[in-house]
Amino acid sequence: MRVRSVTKRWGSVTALSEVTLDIEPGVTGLLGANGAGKTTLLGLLLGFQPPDEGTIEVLGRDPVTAGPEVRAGVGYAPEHDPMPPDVRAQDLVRHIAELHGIPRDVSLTRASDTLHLLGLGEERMRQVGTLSTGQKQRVKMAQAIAHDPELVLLDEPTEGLDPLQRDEMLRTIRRIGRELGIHVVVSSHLLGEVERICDNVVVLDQGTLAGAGALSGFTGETRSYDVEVDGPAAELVAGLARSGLVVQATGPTRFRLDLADDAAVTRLLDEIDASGLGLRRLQPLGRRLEDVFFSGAPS
Amino acid sequence: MSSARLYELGYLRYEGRRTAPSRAVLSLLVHSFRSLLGIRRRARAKALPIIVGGMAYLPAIVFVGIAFFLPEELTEAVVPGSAEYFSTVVTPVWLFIVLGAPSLICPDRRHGTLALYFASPLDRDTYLIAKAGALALFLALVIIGPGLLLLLGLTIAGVGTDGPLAFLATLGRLLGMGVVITMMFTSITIALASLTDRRAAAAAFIGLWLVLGSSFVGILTGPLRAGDWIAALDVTTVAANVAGHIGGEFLDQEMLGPLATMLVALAWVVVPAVFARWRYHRLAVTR
Repeated sequence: MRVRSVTKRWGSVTALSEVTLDIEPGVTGLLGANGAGKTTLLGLLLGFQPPDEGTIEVLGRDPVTAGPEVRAGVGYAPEHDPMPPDVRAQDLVRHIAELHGIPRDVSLTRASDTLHLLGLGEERMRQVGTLSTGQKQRVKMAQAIAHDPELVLLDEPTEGLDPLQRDEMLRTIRRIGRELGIHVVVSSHLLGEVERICDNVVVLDQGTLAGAGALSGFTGETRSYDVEVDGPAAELVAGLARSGLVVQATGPTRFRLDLADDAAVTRLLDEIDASGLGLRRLQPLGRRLEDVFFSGAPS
Repeated sequence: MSSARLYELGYLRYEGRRTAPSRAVLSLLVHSFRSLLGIRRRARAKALPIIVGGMAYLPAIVFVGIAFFLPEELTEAVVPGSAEYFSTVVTPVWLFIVLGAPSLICPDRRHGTLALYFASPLDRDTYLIAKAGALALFLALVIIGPGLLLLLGLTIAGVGTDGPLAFLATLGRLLGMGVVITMMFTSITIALASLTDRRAAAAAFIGLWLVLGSSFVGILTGPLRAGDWIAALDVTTVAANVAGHIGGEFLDQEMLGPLATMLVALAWVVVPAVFARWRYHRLAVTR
C-alpha cells in the first residue's frame, strides 16, 4: 500500500494532513490516539471516500477508481459492531464471503471453517444478537477473512474484550499474519498490543504521520546509554552537561546519556578519565514503543 | 487394508474459483429478496409476505375457479380483466411497502452493516441497485403475478382473450403496466426509507405519504375542484392511471392523459431514485 500526500477533511476538521507512507507486507500496527486519523485512513484505503488531495494505491490499484476490484481482495472488520442481531453468525459470514467472490456452493464450508478457526463451534448457529462481546468480535473477524483476502484491515479489534479474550484475539491476528500469510493492518491505540503482534508500525498523531517503519526500528537499540561509574557521579554528570551532552542522573553512581556520534563517546571517556572514576557499565538502552509514542517518533 | 482417508479439516487458503466483483450485486439482491420472503428468518418475518401474497393471489385463484365452474356470461360479469385486477393488489402493495420494505435498508444503517457492504465489491450505487432490485422483484410478484395467473387461468378456461395475438397483446400490456407501477412504488419506497435508519419511522413516512397523498388529491379534486393535474401528486392515482392507459382497462376517473401519465410516472421513478442516491452518497461510513 502506498499513500502519497493524502489529505482528508471532514468539514472544517482536517482528519489527515499530507500523509505519505508505505505499508509493507506482514502485520502492520496503525497506532495513534483516538482522533489521530486511523479510521479515516482505513476508510480511504477501502475507497469509502476519496481523499481531498493525494493518491492511494492498495494491492497495486487505486481504491477510488477500482474500488470493487480492490475490495474483493480485502477483508475489513470495523471498530463498531456492524452485524445485524437477527441473523445467524454462520449466515452472515457466508453472505459476506459470497459478496467477496466465494461461490455459493463452497461459501457455507468456508464460513463454517473460518468460525471454527476462531473458536466458534456450535455458537456459529446462534443469532448474532445472542452472542457475547468476545464472540461477536470473533464473528466480525471471521467475516473479514472467510473469503481468504490478501489483506485484512482491522479497526480496534480488541475493543471491549476482557484481558483473556484480548490475549486470544492478538494470538489469532498474529496467526493470520504469520501462518496464513495474510497481510494485516491493525489499528489500535494500545501500544502493548502493537508491540506484541506487529512487524511494522505506522504512527499517526492528530492527522499527521508521526513515524513509520519496521517495529525493530522503533523499539531497537538507540544512541542512549546507561552509564555506571564506581563512585559518586554528580560532578561527572554536571561536567558532561556543561560540555553539551544530553545527560540525566538516574542514581548516585548511574546516569543516562545520549551519544549522538563517536566524538561524543570520546568526550565521555575523557570526562570519566578526568574525574578519576572507573567505568563499570556502558550499555545501550532499548526503547519501547511507548517511549517513542510519547516523545515523538522518528520519521 | 482400511480405505479410510484423512482429509484436512479447518481453515485453509482458498485456491478455488472466484466470482467476478460485479456478481456481488446479484448476490446481495438474492440475499435481500430471500430476507423479504422471511427465508432463514424468524417466524414472524415470514408472516407478512404470506399475508401479502394471500391477499394478492387468493382473489385471482377464486376468479380462475369461477371461470372454470360458472357459465361464460356470468364469469365475464363477475371476473375482472387481468389489468383491472390492479385495484385488488393496491392494498397488499401498500401493506408491504409500509410494513415490510423498511426492513430492507433501514437496519443496514442502524446496525452499521453498511460498513461491511461498502467494504465488499459493492459501492453505494450498486448497493442501492441490489436493494431496489430485491424490492422490485417482490412487488412485481404482487403486482404482476396475480394478473398473470388470472390471464392464464381465464385463457385456459376459454373465457379470456380471443386468439394468440390478443393474448400476447394483453400479456404485453400487463407486463408493461406492472413494470412501470413496480418501479414507481420501489423508487418512492427506497427514497422515503433512506430518510431514516429506524424501521418504524420509515413505515410512518411511507404510510403518511400514501394516505396523505390520496387524501390531499381527493380533497383538492373533489370539494375544492382543483385541476385534474393535481392527481400527479398521488402515486397511487398515477399508478391507477398507468393501469388504465397501459393495461387498457376502464378508468373510473381519467385524471391524466396517456402522455401526461407516462411523464408523471417517469418522474415518480426518477426523482425519488435520484434523491435516494443523493442520500446514500452523503452517508459517512467511517470518519
